[in-house]
Amino acid sequence: MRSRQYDRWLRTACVVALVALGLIVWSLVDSRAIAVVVAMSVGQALGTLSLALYLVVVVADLRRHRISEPLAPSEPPPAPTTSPEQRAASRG
Amino acid sequence: MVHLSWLTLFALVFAGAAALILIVYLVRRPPLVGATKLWLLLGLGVFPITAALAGNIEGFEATKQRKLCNSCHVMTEHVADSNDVNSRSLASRHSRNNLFGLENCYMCHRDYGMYGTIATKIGGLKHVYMYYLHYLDVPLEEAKKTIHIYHPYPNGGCMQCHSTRLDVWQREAEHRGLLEEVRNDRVACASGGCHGFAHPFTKSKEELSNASVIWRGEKSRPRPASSAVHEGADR
Repeated sequence: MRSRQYDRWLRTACVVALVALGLIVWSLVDSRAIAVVVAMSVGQALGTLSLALYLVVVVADLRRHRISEPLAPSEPPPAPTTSPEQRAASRG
Repeated sequence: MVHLSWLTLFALVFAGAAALILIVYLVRRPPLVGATKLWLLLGLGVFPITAALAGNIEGFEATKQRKLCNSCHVMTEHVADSNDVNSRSLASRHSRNNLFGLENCYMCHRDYGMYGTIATKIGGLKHVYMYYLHYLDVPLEEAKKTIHIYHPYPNGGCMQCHSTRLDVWQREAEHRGLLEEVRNDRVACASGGCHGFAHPFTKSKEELSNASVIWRGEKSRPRPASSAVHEGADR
């Protein structure tokens, strides 16, 4: 997934969430049965969808960053721990 | 003027804050950095969930209100009768009781028991479905004749308050004589011969003139419990 796709998905999530919020507000100011039922079913389904879209984008973005991070340079091999006397002895 | 409860205001504030964040994001389109993700978490997660939770509580409370029932035109006469302080119907008399008040429809028609609230809400959803698909254009007079509750009204609803165990209840000779029939739902409390119909304006002249006790299954004569069937009770 590329950053342009992220942007499109997030904008979709925002629009969907705005619709869901509109339905919730409708049920709060209008006491008709249809408003309450629509807000508590369609509204919440849309709200959940928008949050899911956001989470997908964030997780994909985090994974992309982890993959594209440069690898840490390998450490040099440890220095020999033999003493000068041992080295002289080994040389013969 | 619309009265808004503190919970409604709470939900509106959180919904407004979420909407503000989302609109700013849509207009400015900032890069997806850590701060943007955090703002979007508030705008798409925390604030809408808070608004939805508060809205759910308000919604559940709203579904108990008489005015919600009144939002379907087929119920306007039932609600008008409840609002009528001079009406002698069972429904109206109970609506004047503080325990029932503005929630009198729900108090009588709710299902009692452990899952009563859930069962009532599911039943309510079915009502909304039926109304918008079948009864939206049905004239009130026709609706009054064709809409019935799914099952005869059970005495258990009445017995939530009128336990049938107190001395003041058993002092009545009719109560004493029908004690087992009432408790076992074989005779309807809300019938012409007993306490009258809850919604008498939905009854035909014939039903109203026949002011006898409604026996479940057969009028005017008790039947053995094993053969009792539910029919002929209050709508």
